[in-house]
Amino acid sequence: MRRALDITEIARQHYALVYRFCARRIGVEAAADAAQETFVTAQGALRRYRGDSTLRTWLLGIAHNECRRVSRNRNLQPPPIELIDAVGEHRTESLVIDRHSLTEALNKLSDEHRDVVLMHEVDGLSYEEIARVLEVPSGTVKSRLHHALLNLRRSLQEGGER
Amino acid sequence: MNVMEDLKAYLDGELSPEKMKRVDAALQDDPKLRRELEELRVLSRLIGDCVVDVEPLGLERTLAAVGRRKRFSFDLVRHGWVVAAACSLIIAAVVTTDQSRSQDEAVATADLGSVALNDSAKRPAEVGASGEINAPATKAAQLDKAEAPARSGFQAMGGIDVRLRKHANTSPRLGEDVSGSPVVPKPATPGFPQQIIRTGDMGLRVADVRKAQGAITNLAKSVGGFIESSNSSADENNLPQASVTMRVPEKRFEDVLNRLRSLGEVKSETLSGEDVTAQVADTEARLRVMRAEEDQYVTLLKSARKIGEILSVKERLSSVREEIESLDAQRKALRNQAAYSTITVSLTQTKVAGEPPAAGSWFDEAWASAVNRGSAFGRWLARVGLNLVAFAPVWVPIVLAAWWLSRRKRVS
Repeated sequence: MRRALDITEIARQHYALVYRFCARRIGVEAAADAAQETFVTAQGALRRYRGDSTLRTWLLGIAHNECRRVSRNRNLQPPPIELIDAVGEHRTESLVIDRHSLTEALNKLSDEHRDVVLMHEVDGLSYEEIARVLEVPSGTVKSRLHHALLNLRRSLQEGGER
Repeated sequence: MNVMEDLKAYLDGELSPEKMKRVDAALQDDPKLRRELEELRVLSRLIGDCVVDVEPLGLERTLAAVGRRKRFSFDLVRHGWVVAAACSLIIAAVVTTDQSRSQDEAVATADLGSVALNDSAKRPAEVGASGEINAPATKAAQLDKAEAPARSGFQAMGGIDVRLRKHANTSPRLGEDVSGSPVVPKPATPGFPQQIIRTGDMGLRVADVRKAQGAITNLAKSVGGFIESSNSSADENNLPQASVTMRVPEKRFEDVLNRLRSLGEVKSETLSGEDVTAQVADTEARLRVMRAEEDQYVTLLKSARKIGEILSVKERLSSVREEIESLDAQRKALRNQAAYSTITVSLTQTKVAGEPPAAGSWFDEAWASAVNRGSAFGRWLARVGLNLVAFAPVWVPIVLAAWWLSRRKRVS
């Protein structure tokens, strides 16, 4: 089983996920370096990987640590979240959501909330997977997501009222 | 339970079935909650669909980096035993080479000492007829280190050349180097038969000194030799001991030595040879000159007429004859010494002959043997320890590097 784990193959399969994960935290300029370092570290630690978590969770955990290290060393801030152009206007009973308001609301989120929102909504990670990557209990993930969406709705409501 | 807090988890299917039912029930009863849920669904879908996915860059570079690392990586921790084995081999090779070299040097030094000692005894004999002097220092200097390893069969004790034979049948011939290359001195006088005085001293431990004395006497007779002297005494433990000096024909010297060795345990053995060829040749030459002089004086005596002349010639003749006799005796003595080699055998006895072994002696022997082995093991351990300390500059950096690398990997 362990012999089947070839780092080159793993890199081919998961590079895009890891790169985007890094790019959303430290920017595209530093993302390639961080992603490379993630796979080099994973290569050294591969024999210690026991399959307790999925491979992508394990890789994202390494990438998360690498991004923290890079942002600390190079004093990097997360880049603003951008949305595609084709976002139309969406209305609910209390909210009017368009590209501009949603972008603004997302960029107002704290780093913790932003992380869980992007990991869950964009990367499609489950609560349990996010908990493993961030090394926090899954209840914390659930709570952060709840509060993150609460904050988003508040921001959107405030934007709509203006 | 705060249903509002569970709405997002409900939407994501991350609640337990029990909680899902509760939220379901709450949703049916509360239209506001349904609106909240709808807002969350719209928002989540929008975020998931609309956040820009950047195009990943640098995959090839990463693949190259891991490929390079894969080719050249050597896991020091995983293959620690390989590193340890290689280090042990290197250290063992270095230590063994070093020890054998130091042993060789020690033996060579001891041999140089013994050769110098022998040479100082032989010094008069090595002043040949040609006047060539083989100084001890010259001979000692000829012993280069290349000869040294072959000398390990000898042990130098107390600066005296005590060469303990380990194997009787590999005994070096007299005047022969242990390495096998003969070091018989070249005849000082070409064409003159070589004359060597061979002497041997042997310490033998035998079961019965009296019987051994008898055997040595018979041995001397059987080879056409004789016993020059023999004396017996008792040591401080009242055990008999004896010293027998035998003279045996030079040609049977080696044979006699071999037979002596079979009589008991050889404790010590010293062989030496003194080349007296030059001395014999010199004596004979002077003898010829003196005889010619004697003949001349006899002729003169016959033709002498005056009393004064007769007395004067007779006086000279008698002094020449005295000298001739002296030289002749000297020549005979040398020839005799060369023809009959001298072997002095010192006999000692371990216990009184015929006495039964003391009760418990096996225990003492076993105990002594065990103590000896224990101390030998202790010395070996000490040697290993000292070698480890001495080679610390070699292995300590390797161990530290391995430790540092493994630690670095763990941390990463």
